[in-house]
Amino acid sequence: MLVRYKEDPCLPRAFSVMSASREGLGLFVKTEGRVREKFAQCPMGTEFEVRGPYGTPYVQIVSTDRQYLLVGGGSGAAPLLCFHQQNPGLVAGAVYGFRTADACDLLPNTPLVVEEDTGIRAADRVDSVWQDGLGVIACGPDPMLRLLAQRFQSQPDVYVSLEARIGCGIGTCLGCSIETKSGMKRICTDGPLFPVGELPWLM
Amino acid sequence: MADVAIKRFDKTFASPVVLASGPGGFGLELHAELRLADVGAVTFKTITLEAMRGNPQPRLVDCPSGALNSIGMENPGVAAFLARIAPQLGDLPTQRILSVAASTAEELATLLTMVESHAASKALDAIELNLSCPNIEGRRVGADAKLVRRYVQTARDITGRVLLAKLPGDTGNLLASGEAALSVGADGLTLINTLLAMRIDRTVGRAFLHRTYGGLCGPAILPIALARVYEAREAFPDAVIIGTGGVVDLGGMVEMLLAGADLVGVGFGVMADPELPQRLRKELGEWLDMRGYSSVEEIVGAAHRGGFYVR
Repeated sequence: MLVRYKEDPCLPRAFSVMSASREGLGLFVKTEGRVREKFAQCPMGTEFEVRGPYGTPYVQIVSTDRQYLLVGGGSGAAPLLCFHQQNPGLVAGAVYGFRTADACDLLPNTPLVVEEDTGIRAADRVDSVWQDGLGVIACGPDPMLRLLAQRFQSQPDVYVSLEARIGCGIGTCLGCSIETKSGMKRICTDGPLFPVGELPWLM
Repeated sequence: MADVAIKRFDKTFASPVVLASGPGGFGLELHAELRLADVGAVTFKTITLEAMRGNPQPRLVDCPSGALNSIGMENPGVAAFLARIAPQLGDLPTQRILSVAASTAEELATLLTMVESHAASKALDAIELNLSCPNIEGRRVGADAKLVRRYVQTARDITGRVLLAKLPGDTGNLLASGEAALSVGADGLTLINTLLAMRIDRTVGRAFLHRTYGGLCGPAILPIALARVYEAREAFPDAVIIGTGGVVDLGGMVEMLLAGADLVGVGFGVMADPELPQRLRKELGEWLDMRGYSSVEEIVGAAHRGGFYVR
């Protein structure tokens, strides 16, 4: 989803959908940065401009012949929680890591790896959950994605969800283009999920 | 409602709003977000002779009142454009402007000859020479009046279409470059491109962008674009001017028209909100009604004539 505070002359911010139901959409918002601070400070009823959702749903990109281990770092957990909610049959397990314990209150029913408590990050915990035959879907900071790409480079069906500063969201401005083995791709429309084999620069 | 259409070059623009080259791609994806019939014209993403991959990420960096961009002219090259994209453009219900760039006049000649000899080029209403992109290697042609003259002359010799020269707002002598372009047959000037600028990532102590500098766009550059358009209108009373830079709302568009722009480009504004052009058209009509004007033509360049109260 792209969200913009109307009075602010800036580009919209891209957020993953964390939960979707008849009552509405849930977004995971860290309270830092220009738009996100507005979220935290604004009174109820403040209007934001919201458009989307854009991009290709994960389920249309991944092979549906196998189950997946989901690995999320920080706000990267959000789209994975949504994928899990909508495709429970495709998920064998999940590891979500956060730097601080704040997120435990937000996600009371989800076991989290909290780095400040244990020094352990999501990527470190993966081996204890991993089983042969599983695919991997990961979303989080670049160093985490890089670690996972290296760890699972010989496995099939390993995907990472990428982030960039999104401009238009509809594939026209090319602000989010990245290099892949099959040419330049747009995170906002072709992605955000890509097979790691398509991203040699991630290794 | 007041007439918001603008007639120039024997063509009718449904509104003064022109999609600036870049953010709107080739207009094809915009169908879902925007009624293109309400837009004066779409300027396509710049095409070069060979395909270009563009710059590495990041390509966009936030700035106060705008953004820094460093796309680097990613495009499929003219041959692929003509084969795959151009045949789809004839259906766009608006004026269609092809934007091209080249690193030499010879390259420009090759590119335009390919365009003009291809059947799909019948979809094109005008050609804009991008002489001012800050995001690729090589000289910014638009800053050098002699080069401007050579590029425009080269293009004029090859194409009979409406020819526009897009010039930089921050380097060289704009009036000298504008004079050079118009003297050899440019039909109009697009003013201005993004402005060379940078931001530094405080966490790592280096420039955000791989190329260090990028192009500043958004409301931050509106006052600069207005000054360039105003001075160009004074110097070239009869030239068609597309005033581009920082327009994101009705106020900015009206100022641009008053400064002397015949047409008003929007770029950053469309990235932030793809529906902006059609909203601007509606709001302009309402604004003209409120002030008692029957046509937008009455306010074009009005700031040079003493404003609203002395006509």
